[in-house]
Amino acid sequence: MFTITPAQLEHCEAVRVASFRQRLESFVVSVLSQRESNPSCTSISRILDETFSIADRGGFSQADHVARIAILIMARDVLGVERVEPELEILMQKKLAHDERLAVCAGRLGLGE
Amino acid sequence: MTSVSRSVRADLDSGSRKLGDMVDFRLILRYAWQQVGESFGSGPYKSPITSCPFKAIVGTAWRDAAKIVFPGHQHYQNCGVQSARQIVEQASGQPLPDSELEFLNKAIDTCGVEKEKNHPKDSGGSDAGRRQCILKQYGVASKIEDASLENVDRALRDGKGVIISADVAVLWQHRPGVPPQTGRHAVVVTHGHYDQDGNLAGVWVNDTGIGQRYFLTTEQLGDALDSGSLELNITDHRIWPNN
Repeated sequence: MFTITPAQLEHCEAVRVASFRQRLESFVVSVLSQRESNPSCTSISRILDETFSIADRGGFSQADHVARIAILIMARDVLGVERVEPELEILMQKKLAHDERLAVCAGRLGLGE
Repeated sequence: MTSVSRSVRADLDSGSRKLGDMVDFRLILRYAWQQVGESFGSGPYKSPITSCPFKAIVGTAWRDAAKIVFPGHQHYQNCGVQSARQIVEQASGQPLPDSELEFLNKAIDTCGVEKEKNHPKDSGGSDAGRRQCILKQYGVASKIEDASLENVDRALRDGKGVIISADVAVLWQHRPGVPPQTGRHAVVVTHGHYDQDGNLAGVWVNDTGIGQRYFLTTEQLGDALDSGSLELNITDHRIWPNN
């Protein structure tokens, strides 16, 4: 047996997040590559960083919700939607449920179903 | 490729969604939005993973079970028989009703364990084959494997029952208060001790010969394995708790 130290637990947690981040990165690349053959690593990394930042600030923990945030950011970046920052701010408005915040934001960005 | 990108590509390949040379990227994003749930699910994105390298291999239940099943000091020359009994009891999850002598006599009758003139005091000698027979009599399937550190390590990680053979001159050389002796001896290796990287650093032993449970470093275990019959009894299935 061995005792798990706080540093090791932190590492495990980092592995968990990294695992999802890798999946999300593949997803972002697959979407962006529909428009440009070789999306830049810099832009992908920035999209992921901002996604997790918004997810943390907005209290999003569901995998599909976090992936939707990445889509919203791609919509902003690639489509150049005007007034997008106020729209993304909706994601931080905790008076609404996560689903509702995403739906409102997607609707304003023209991604709604 | 994700199901999202497959769907998007299928649609793009149809050629119906292109606006000149420019792909309608908003449409792609819509597809992605609609199918993202299928790709990622609604579970927490920080979901537990099983590959955490620091997962404890041996937990409290396992350590407690190793103590509970230990019968203490043997009364005859039946180290291997008593070792097999521990494996049987741990595998079945309950102690056997037989006394130590009753269990020994059955092993003599059914598996050819040695019966000496001064029975039962000097009786009970066994080899790996006879121990395997005893285990089988009680429904515990097992194999006889080469006595290597790798085989012991692998079996312990799988929670299997392990009996090793060693010369007591080597096995007991680090035990305080145990006078120097020689002779073949069998003990149960109950569980491993692992370092920060998950490597086997040593093992815990249930030794009925001196009525003690003690720790052997990996080096000491290797020396012990080299001094015995060079055979291990390893159960086919897990017998120890999974935590």
